[in-house]
Amino acid sequence: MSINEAVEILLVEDSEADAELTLRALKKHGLANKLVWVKDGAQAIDFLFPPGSQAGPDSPANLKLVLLDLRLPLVSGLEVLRHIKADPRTRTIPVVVLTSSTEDVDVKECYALGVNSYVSKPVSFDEFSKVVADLGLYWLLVNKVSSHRC
Amino acid sequence: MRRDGSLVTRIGAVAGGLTLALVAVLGIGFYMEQRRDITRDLTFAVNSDAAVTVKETVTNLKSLATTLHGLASNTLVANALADTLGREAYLEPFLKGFEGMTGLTGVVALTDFAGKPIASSGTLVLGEDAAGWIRQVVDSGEARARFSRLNGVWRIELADPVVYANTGTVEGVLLIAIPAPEIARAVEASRIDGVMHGLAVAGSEDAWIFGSGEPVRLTAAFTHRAIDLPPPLSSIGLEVVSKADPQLIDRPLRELSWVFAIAALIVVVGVTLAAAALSLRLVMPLRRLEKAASSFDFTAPDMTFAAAGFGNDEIGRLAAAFASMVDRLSTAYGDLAAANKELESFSYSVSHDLRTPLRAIDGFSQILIDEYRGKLDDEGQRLLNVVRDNAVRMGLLIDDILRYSRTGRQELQAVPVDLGKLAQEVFEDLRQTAGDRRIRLDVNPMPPALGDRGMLRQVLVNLLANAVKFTRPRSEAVIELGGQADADHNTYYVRDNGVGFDMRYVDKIFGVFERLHANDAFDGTGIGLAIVKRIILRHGGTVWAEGKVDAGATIGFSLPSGGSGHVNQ
Repeated sequence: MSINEAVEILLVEDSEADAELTLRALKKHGLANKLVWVKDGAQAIDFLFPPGSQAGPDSPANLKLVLLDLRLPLVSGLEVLRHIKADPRTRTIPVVVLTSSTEDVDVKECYALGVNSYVSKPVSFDEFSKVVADLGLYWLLVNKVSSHRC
Repeated sequence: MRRDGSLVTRIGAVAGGLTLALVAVLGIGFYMEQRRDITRDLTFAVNSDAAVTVKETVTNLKSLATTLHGLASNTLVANALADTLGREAYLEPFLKGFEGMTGLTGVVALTDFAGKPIASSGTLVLGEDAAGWIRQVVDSGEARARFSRLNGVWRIELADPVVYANTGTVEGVLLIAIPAPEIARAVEASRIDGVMHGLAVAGSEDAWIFGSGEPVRLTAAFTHRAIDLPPPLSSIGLEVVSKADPQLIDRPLRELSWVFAIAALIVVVGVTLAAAALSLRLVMPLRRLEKAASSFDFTAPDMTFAAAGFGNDEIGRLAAAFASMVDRLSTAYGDLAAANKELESFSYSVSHDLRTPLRAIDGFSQILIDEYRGKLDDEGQRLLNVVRDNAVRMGLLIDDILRYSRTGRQELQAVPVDLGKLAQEVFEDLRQTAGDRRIRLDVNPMPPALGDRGMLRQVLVNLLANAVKFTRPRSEAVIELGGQADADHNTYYVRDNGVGFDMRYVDKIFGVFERLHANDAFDGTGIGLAIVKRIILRHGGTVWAEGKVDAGATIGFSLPSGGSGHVNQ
């Protein structure tokens, strides 16, 4: 998985259509070069915490952003978020929850777990691609600045 | 529950009151009976005592008569009638000794037929009528007795004829005059403390106390007892009068009353406390039930209260019935909570799962338009845009229906809200989106509303947004907000000078997704007023609408005004 070294964005999304739209939106702004897409929560956790690697995720240390859907097969997005924010090695990676859900319960829980942004995916593609692009730009930039500082 | 409505105090009071009434009735009966008994005992004692006094008086008088008779028959006395020398020599000392014989102070005299003293133990003064009476004694030859009153002093006079033995003829009269008080003095006084016996002349008001001879005035309080005397004394009317001190009845009655009152108090207090204690025992399980009922948490049903011993009586059965009811309620609550949970998860699914394909429809249509522009003619592109518009519209509908369903579930916190101020804020936001249209909001005075601030804001947002929307054709839009306080509700209205509506369809205006205008005339899904209605109903108020085509619309609503707490949680 040497390719992981270069990964900057992890997209966790079960809907192929949403994933494609997200990719297109990021691509349009030149942000999709180093992106990995996994389709469920279990894969996300495997990617972030590779099995057998006691030392922990060296590679995800390069991650600049996790785009996380909440409704995922196998392991839910909330569970993935809990894992990321519970582990000191991954805690600093910005996690943006991108979800269709407009239910308040999720918002509250996500912020309680320490999510960096919570964005409800608009139905309109124009708005959606703008939201995704804005998020990607903002968090990649913020993360670059903060990691330079560190 | 109000604490002052305690069964314990009520049962205690009733038991205490009943006991008090019973004790009072018993007390009155007891008092009457005791009074009767004491009076009877006292009367009996007084009677017995008086009888002794009567007997003693009779004895004394009889003895007096006997002594006098013996004296009159004595030869020495008769002899003295002829023996003028002997009179002084022995008769007068003899007569003087009479006093010692009878123990009575009086005058004994030997008189002639006219009552003139021949010999005397002292100075004998006789009334004017004495001569006639003595004559009768002489003529009848028998002893006589009478009362006489001389100088205001009653006295008993006894006269016995003195017969000269040699001739057998009456030659003189032996007469004794003793003051009535003296008779009384010679008899022993009453042997009962507080009881007084007196000797009275029958038919007069004069009496003298036995033992002392003190005079006493007779009153109605005295009881009279005639003294029967044998002849010759039978001709004098004597009575023993008796009077008992009222204290002899009152004092023991008073003492008894005190004892009874103290006993009654102890009984009443005891019964009251016992009743209270007993009812407390009865009520304790009820209080436990009350506590269990008021603090029962259906989200965490705890049935342990039912296990506590409630016995097998009515209360026990009530507790069992209550526990069973609570159990069924808990089950129903659980079912309801589960149904709610299901509904929430359904909403979640709707919100998530329906939007995702919509986004795909819109997104891929857009991609088609962007990337295959060259291969699509204008009509093709227009059709794809129709697909996109409808996808977005369906997204809005889904959002609205979720918002509507959430309105029914949100917690409601009633606080005073200044609707006028809130409306101004909302209006400022709305005006931003209305471009350079001329829109005016007139806020009239209105009472403060009581309701959930967030929800009332939503009401104003929906109503004002509608008003802004439906006044679009007007060169100047005028929106008016006002209200007034009624009996227990405050009413408010939002009026506009917009396109209005046909009153024939007023019933539909608050329905979900009901729209009275064609889709393309005014945007919107038709959820706004449905949400308004739902919020107002949840507050315990009502909504109504008035309008006329092209002449504006008024939407009104009412809210309960404080105090009564009509808010449905």
